[in-house]
Amino acid sequence: MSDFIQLVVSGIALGCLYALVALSFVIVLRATGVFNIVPGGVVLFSAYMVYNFHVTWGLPFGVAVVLTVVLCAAAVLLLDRVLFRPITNHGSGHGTFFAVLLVGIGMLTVAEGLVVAIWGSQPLSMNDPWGLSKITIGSVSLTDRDLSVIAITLILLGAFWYLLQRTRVGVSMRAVASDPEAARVQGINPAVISAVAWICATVAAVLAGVMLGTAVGGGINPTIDQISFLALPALILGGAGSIGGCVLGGIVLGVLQSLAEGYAPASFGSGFGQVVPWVVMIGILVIRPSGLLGSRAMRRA
Amino acid sequence: MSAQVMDETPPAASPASAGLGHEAEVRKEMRLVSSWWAWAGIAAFIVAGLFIPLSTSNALMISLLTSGAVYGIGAIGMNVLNGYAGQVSMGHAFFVAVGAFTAVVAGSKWNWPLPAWLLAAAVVGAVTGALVAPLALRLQGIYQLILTLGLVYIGTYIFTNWTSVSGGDNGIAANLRLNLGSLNLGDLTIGSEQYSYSQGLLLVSWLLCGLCVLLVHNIMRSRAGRAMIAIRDGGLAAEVAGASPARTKINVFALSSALAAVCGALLAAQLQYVSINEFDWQLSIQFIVMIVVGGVGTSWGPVIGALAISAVPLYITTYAAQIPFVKQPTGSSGGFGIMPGQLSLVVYGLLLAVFLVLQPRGLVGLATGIARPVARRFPRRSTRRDRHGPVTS
Repeated sequence: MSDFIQLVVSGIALGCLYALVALSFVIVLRATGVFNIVPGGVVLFSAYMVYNFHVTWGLPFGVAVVLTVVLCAAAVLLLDRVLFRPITNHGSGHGTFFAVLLVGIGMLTVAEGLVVAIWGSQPLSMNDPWGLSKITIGSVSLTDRDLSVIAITLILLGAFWYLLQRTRVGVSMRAVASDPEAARVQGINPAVISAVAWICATVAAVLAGVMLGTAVGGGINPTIDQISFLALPALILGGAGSIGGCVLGGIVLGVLQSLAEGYAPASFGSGFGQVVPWVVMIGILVIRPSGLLGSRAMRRA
Repeated sequence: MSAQVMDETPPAASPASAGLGHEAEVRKEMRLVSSWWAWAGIAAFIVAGLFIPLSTSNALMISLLTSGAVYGIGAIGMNVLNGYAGQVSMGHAFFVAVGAFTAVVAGSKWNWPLPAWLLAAAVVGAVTGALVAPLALRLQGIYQLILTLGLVYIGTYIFTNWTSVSGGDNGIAANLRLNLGSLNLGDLTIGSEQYSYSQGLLLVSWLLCGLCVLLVHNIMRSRAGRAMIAIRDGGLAAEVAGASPARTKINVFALSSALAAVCGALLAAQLQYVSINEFDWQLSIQFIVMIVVGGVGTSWGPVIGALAISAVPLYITTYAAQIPFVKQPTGSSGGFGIMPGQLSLVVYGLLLAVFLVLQPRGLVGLATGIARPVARRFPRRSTRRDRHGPVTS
């Protein structure tokens, strides 16, 4: 039983990571109308930058994270301005979607190359900012890191929910998402909205990167941007476009993956846990194509 | 990627030409090869395809040209899916893997001759593609992309654990024979000249690549091919005109994955070793880069792109010492510098960005841009592209 609880908790922590990354995609998708994979590159870079500020330069952990958020946000806004805006301004529809996606994936490969060039390809280890102590409740022992991940994710989600539902900026963002023309007529500047969305996405991605970087045994390596692909089933499962859907999808998949890794018999072969989210996703697509909480309009061919 | 490929489709004849004139015009449009320079290109291709493999023994040259042809076939498949039919896929690597392992089983384990293992790979690839299609065709955009990406992960899981076929993580040796009846292309002797396995494979790959270009070019002029393009450009209008989207998309997936599988089979023959770890999503991206660089929705673009893209890692590793900031493979960590393998990734990413933003028509578009003023002086046939406005992707 205590095994089960541990697996579920670490599954929720993993799911929170998926949710954070999926969330950064959804925010940009909703504000700009185009899916962009660049937050995945932010996940990668931020882990290394926090490592650089915190471990190499000896800055306090919090300062390192804030500095990373600022720098990443600036870089992402610049990328949006010089690279993605020209593409989205040029055309619309399928072509734009694909061009933005491909340029984003191109940037992801550039990011991987740069990270290896600057920091090398060996995995690095953050100096354990959470203090890898364990909390033991009865026979269940939970790592501090898992609990921190869950707590931080929930706080951030709460903040985002408040921002989107209760503030002027959030209302404008939803207005732009539902009808850009009408929003413009109301005096909403889409450029400002998309900048705010990019900054929110950057915050979520940086936190995901930091938490990935502090994973037990995992550490920082040049392939952690893979999470930007692994988080995509969460996007599908929840139904793109809703924050709650992302979180629900991420946590469901994280728990399933964790349980599969814990309980699958050896005959299922290696890598079974990692493939579970994809299989679940395909199952969902067959049975309920609109996702758990999603709307139908966006995905049908 | 909604590149307009109108030069591949017979457009409606102008109302001025009626009767016999109209028929002649249609016949002219339906001609497979429509200009003297296309004929010259084909002649040059056949001569070069026969001459180069038999004349050079430069290992780098042979390896580059073979990769160009082999990846070119895969890129043609990607082009069918993406360029002509407008479907998005990150799953190409999966079908390449299916083809490679089919070839290993048929050619290496069961010792089938060349045509048999190639055909087996193509058939298995087409069937797998047709099976996946019903899932993929329900979705579009990012959803289709994620679904096809899932294929790559699921394929990796299946093949990693299906060790009798794939050798698991260690990979498996592929000793494929290049036998064509009693003629062994892997060990060819003409006169007193002895030719190696790699030269024979180069010959086979280029001829197959040429065949695939011709095949796809031809299919795209047929009713089924025009339906694919119509579905891309306007699904509802195509349906009204009698093209069934479901059947068309299944055709597209089957054709595209068959070509990917043939690419995989030839890849196994070239490397003589297959490991599932080669077939990750980055391979799928490579195919996308190839068609973008070469020219989306053109018959020759994918092959030209494949040649250009295969040249990148090869030349980077060969001339690593001369390029600034590139580390030698021996120095694994520390200091500023890019590993040769990483540098090609960076180059792919930059090529993708540069071509999509500045030259969405790719190298073929660049070439026709230069050739158009020349072609205009020969009034037999000019390219019909400029009529359709700028390309959005």
